[in-house]
Amino acid sequence: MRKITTIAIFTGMTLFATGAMAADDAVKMRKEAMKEAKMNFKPLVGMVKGKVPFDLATVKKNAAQIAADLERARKLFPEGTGDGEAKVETRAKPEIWLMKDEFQAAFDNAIKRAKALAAIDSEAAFKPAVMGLGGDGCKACHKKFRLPKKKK
Amino acid sequence: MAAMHRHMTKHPILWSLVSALLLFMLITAGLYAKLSEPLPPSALPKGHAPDIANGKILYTAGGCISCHRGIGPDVDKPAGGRKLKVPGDTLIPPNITPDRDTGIGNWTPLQFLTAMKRGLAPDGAHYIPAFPYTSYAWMTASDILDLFAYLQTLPAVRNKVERKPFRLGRFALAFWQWLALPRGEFRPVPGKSAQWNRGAYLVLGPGHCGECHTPRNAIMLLNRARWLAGGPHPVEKGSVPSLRGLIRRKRFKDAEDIYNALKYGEALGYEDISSGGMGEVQENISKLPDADIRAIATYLASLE
Repeated sequence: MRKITTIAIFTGMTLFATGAMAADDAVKMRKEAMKEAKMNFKPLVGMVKGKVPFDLATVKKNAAQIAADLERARKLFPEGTGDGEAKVETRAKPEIWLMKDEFQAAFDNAIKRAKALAAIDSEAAFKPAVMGLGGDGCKACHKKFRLPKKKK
Repeated sequence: MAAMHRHMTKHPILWSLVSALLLFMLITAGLYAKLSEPLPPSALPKGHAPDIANGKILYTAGGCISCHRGIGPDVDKPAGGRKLKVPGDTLIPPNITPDRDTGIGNWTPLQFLTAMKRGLAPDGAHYIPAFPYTSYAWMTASDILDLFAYLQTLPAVRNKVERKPFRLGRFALAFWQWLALPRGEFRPVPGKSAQWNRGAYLVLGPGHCGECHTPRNAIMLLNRARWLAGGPHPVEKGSVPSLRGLIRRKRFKDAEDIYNALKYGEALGYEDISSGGMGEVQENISKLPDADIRAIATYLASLE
């Protein structure tokens, strides 16, 4: 009886620790995914501003990458990893868990926008599609669910 | 009379103090009365036909909705009522929809002009400068009247907001206003382009950028020698960035870069401009005519 109890307790502790570690990993991984999305978005911004020549192949490739980055990040918001709860610094607002449905919808919308951008066939479709992703996708979700940068 | 004279000669120090006190109270009362004078009718521009379209642009540039936003279904109207936390106090912006009982529906243009340029309410009370009249005072009288005309076209919302008195008293506030209010209105700078001057006007006046981006002294007066140089946030925790030398410090490449940041914000990757209170400001600015956003960018790009 004692042996089983001991094993049970240690198993429980390990699972708990793993869970806690997994939570920290979730924060790290989703930040990485978002950073990648930003890196993939940058050259497209350059094209909008006319600093870089428009290239359809690059647009489609990067947009598909962004969609993949977002799909990865989407699954990395377990309970207890919000600002003030997670051990790692995060800008995730409690609204993410208080308004779960809206958060998922905002994420889905951003992914949809990224896929729509990846599906364009001409330069004419480029600007509205990329602004749609940046504005209706990134900005709209961040406005509701991400804290402003921590002021020093 | 003779008895009083005997009293005064018997207690000279006491009576000197009393007379000094009476004199002081008289001067203070006189000064307070002077500092609470509304603007005279001559302050109104002669024969000005209000331009409602211009009023709407100024309403957007002024960001009025950001403080005066109503509650619940009135979130898109300036019906007031939301709590505004400032150091040591919680204020509630009033209703500026044209409701006749609880809003500004029965105000005269001169009363609105007095509020914006002197920080005085129609009943003579001094407004707490969370209402940034120290910036709005730079606006031209005709612009302020255009803004008033635009406000009168908004839907009237019934929402009574009780005014809170200033916690340090009306005399302190009146004196502070006397120190803080700019004299006269914005004058275009000769030698600078029309675009630059438009940008300067929008930033100094309706944009009231200086209220956050200019550091203040111990009694919360703007340090105009360090105009837009940033510093501690006047109301929240943390600091506000300097808007001087934006190009020299490589924060932005050029005026075009600043324009893109103001117009698109995070949609084009300008994340910082969506941080904290600036997010709301960027949203407001993005709704301005392109020429005005470019003007603001031109002015800011020129600051050293």
